[in-house]
Amino acid sequence: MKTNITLLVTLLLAGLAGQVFAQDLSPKEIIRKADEKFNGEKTSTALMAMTIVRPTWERTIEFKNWTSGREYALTLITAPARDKGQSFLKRQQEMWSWNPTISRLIKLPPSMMSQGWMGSDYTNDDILKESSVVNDYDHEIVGEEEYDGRLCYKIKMVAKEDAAVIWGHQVRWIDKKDFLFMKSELYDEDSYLVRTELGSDIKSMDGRLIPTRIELIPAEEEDQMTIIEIKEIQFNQNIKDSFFSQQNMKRIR
Amino acid sequence: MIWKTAWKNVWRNKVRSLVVIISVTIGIFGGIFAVAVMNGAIEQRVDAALNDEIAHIHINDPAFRDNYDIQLSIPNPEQVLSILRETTGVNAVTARTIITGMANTATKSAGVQIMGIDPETEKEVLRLNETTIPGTGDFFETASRHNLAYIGHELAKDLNIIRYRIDQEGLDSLAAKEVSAEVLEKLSPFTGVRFKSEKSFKKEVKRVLTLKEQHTYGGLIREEAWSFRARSKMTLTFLDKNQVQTGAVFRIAGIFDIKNSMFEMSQVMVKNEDLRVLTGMAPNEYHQLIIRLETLESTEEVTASLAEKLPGLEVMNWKEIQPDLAMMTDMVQKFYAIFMVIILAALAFGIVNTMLMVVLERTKELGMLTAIGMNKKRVFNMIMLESVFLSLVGGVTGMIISQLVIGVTAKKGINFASYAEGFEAMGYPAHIYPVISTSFFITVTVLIIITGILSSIYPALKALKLDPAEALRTE
Repeated sequence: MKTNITLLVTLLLAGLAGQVFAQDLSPKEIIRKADEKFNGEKTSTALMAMTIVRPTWERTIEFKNWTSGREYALTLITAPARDKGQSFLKRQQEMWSWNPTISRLIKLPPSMMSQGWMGSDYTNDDILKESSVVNDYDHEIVGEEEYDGRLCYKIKMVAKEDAAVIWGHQVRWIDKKDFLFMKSELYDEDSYLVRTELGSDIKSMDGRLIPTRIELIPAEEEDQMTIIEIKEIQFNQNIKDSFFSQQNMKRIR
Repeated sequence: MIWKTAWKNVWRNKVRSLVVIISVTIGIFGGIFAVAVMNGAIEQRVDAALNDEIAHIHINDPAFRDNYDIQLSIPNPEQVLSILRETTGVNAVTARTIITGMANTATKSAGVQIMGIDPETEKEVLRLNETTIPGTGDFFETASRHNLAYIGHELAKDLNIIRYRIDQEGLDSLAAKEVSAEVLEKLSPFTGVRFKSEKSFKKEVKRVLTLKEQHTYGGLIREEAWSFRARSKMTLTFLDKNQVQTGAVFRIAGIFDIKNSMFEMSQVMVKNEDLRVLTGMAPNEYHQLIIRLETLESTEEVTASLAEKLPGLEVMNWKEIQPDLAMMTDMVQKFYAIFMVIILAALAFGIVNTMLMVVLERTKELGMLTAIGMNKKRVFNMIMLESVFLSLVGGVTGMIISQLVIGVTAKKGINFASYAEGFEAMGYPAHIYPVISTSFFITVTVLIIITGILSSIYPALKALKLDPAEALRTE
C-alpha cells in the first residue's frame, strides 16, 4: 500500500512538473519538441507529391518514401512515367541513386549533393541534413504571433560560430499547442532572406497532427517554389535497417 | 654614287613617294602594335600561370591526376623532399594535399578543388599571396581559431561572399564623390537591395541610368556597390580518407584576384593542418609537390633529371601541365613574323604600283642613261634601291612611332574592361601592357628590305627591257 502511495505521489509530482514545464518552456526545448514531432518517429512510410513551380513551367513528381530514424531513407519515384522507378537511398551520410532506364547505380558525390533534388529547390544536402536545428543554433523567443489561424511561438535561431551551417540565422514560427513548424524563414549571414518554408493543411495522419503541405520559396528567385504534399503517411511500421539496401532500391515497387 | 642618285630620285616626286611611305608607315605601325598587344597579353598570361597558378614542376603519383583519388599520396615524402632539395636548379618546394569537393553558402554552391597548403613554403614557390584584393584579408597571416580558406574573386562573387549592394552609406559616399543628385535619385530605389550577381547589378544600373551617366559614374557606383563581408563563412564538403562524406565551416581568410576566372572559380586554398583533421590524413601525407626553379630555361633539364631520380612518380613540367602555354610561347614568335609578312605583302603591291609608275614616267630619262653608257646592272640597282628606300623610310618611321606608342601604353596598359569577362574567362588579363622584344624590330627591318627588293624586280625588269633608241624618242 505504501508503495502505491509513493507511486501516486511521484506521478502527481511528475504531472505537476510537466505542467509547470509546459508553461515555461525554454526556446531550445520548443525547437526540440517540434523537431521531434517532425522527425521523431522511429520509422515512417509515406506517399508524397512534389510540385516544382518555375516561371515558365510546372511539374509534379509523386513518390513513396520509407524512413528509419534520421539515418536511413529510401525514395521511389512513382510518377510521371518518365521518371518512374528511379530510386534514392540514404544511409547515414551517403546517398545513392538508381536509374532503371540505364540500369545504373550511382553514388552521389559531394558535387551533386547541393544540386536541387529532381530539379526542385530542395538540395540533396537538405535531405542529408548534417546540421541540427537543436544543437547548432542559439535560440531565443522573440514573440508570439498568429499564423494561419494558430498561435505560434516566434523563435529566432542564430547559428553557432563553429557549426557547419550555411545559414546566418533562422526565424521559426512554432504552433504553441501542437509544436508544429508552421513557418520558417532562413537568412544568410548578411541577414537577407534566402528561403521561406511554409506549412499548411494541418491534418491528423495515422494519429498524428502534421502539416501535410509544405511550400519552399526561394526569396531571390521570382515565381519559383517547390510544394510538397503528404498524401498518406504511416508511422512506426516494422521496417528493418536491412530494408535500406542497394539491392532493395533496385527491387522495390 | 648610285645610292645617292637613287635617294634623290625618291624625292623627285614628293607627293607620290610620301603616299607610299605613309602607307608603309601605317602598315608597319599597325602590325607591330597589334603584335605588341598580343605579345603583352601572352607574356602576362605565362607570367601569371608560372608565378600564381602552377609554378614550374609538379610531382605526384602517376595515377593521381586521373581522378584526384585521396588515397594516392606520395610515398616517403620526406625522402622525396630531400632529393629535391639536393637537385641543382630547384629553388623552392612546397607540398599540397588536393581534394575535390563542394563549397556552399546560403545562396549558392560550387564544385571546387580544395588545396591543403603550407602558407610559409607556398609563398616561396608561388606569389598568389601577393594578389590578395586589398581589404579582403590576407594569406593566412592573421591567426584564427576557425578553419580558414583563401579563395578566388570569381568564386567569391559566385558564392555571394562578395556581393553588390547599395545602401544609404554608399549613396552618401557617392554624393561626397560629386556624383550628381539626379543619379543618386535614380539609384535610391535600390537602397538596401542586394543583387544576386554582378550581372544582375549591372543590368539594373543600366536600366535606370542614361548611357552618359553610366560612362561617367559607372565605375564609381560599381566600386561602391562591391562589398565584402569580413570573415564570411562557407562550408566545404568532401569525402574523407575512408570515402565518408565530411565537411566543415571555413571562414574566408582573403580573396585573390589573378584575372583568370577559371582558376579563381576552381581553387580554394586552406591550411594543410585544418584539412588534415577533417580528412584523417597522416601529418606527412601529401598528394603533390610543387617546385619553383632557379631559371625558366632549365625546365627540361631539371624535369629529366628528377624523372630519373624519382622512379614511380610522375614528374611534369609546366609545358606538360599546360600544353597551351608551351605552344603559345614556342609558336608565337613565328606567328608574329607570318603576321608581318602578310601585312608587308599587301604593302608590296602598293610599292610595285608606284615603281611601275616611276619607270613609265621616266622612260626617256632611263633611255638617256643607258644611251650614255650606264650598264643594265646599275639601272637595275638604281631602281631597286629607290624601292628599298621607299619601304625603309616608311618602315623605320613606322617602327619609331610604334616604339613610342608602345612605350606610352606600356606604362599604363590598355584597359579592355568592357571585354573583361571574355578575356578573363580564357585566363587572359583584360588590362594589357604591350611589349615587344628588340629582336623583333630587327626581323621586321630585314623583312622590309626584302619587301623593297622583291617589289622592285618587276618594275626594274620593265626598265631593262626598254630600247634606248626608242625610249629617247618618247615624249
